[in-house]
Amino acid sequence: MKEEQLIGQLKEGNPDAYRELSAQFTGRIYNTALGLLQNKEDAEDISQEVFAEIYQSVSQFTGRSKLSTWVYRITVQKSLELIRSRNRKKRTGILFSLFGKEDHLTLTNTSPFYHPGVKLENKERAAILFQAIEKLPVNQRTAFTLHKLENLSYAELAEVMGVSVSSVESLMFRAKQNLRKLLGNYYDQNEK
Amino acid sequence: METKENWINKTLESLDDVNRAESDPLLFNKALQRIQYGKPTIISIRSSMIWRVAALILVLISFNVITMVYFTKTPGDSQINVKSVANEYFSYIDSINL
Repeated sequence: MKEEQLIGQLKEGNPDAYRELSAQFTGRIYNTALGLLQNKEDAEDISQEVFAEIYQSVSQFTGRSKLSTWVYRITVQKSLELIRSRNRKKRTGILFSLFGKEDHLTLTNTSPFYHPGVKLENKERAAILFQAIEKLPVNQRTAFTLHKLENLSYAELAEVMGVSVSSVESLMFRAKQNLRKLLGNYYDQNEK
Repeated sequence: METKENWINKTLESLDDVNRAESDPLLFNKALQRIQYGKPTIISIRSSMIWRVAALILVLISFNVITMVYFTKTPGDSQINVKSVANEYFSYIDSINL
């Protein structure tokens, strides 16, 4: 089904259109949410929220952007909302961020995140990298995660995030810089 | 021993060629249920809270029993008060037997 046709049928509430949407986008939605949230249950919950949002707001979709861009945008927004609400609940986190070392990376024994799609030989390194990604500012985290896990180009990332391509380039540069710093500190403390 | 720079580079590359994670095959069906019925509300009660409430009820009953049985003006009335407490709490037994 062509995208314009699909959008039209989604607006009409055609169940087959929603099945088609699911076939095309469930993997992308879930993978994006999983990468950002680093938790399987949260990713499933947010994925359901995304479909509910699509159902409620598809009538307002103007078609100026691609359907995939719109879906990614909703997924990122819902995921970041959950992250922000969690951060608000972490009262003691505020104290640690004031007095603790921001760039201190420790692999806690409680459930490091292992992405199921990572190659076996890279699993441990990827778990450490995900811990570092979690410490990035939200925009850098979003750009890096989407670029790595969904292979979105800088142009696609710019559309999803609603920024310019040069902003994405800057975000990616700073993300890599920060990750190098975090990983360097981790290496100094654990790998020497 | 791997050099620091080498280790960092390899760690940054550990997400290269990552495959997309597979979701639960029933995810879309769950989403449809959510669209139809809304998000389920989960009410969780900690077991410690249940135990605290149970302990409080026990304390109140004990206090009631002690008050009724032991704190009487006339010493001879303590027997009568044990019966009245039993009557108060277990009167339903007579109605069942009837």
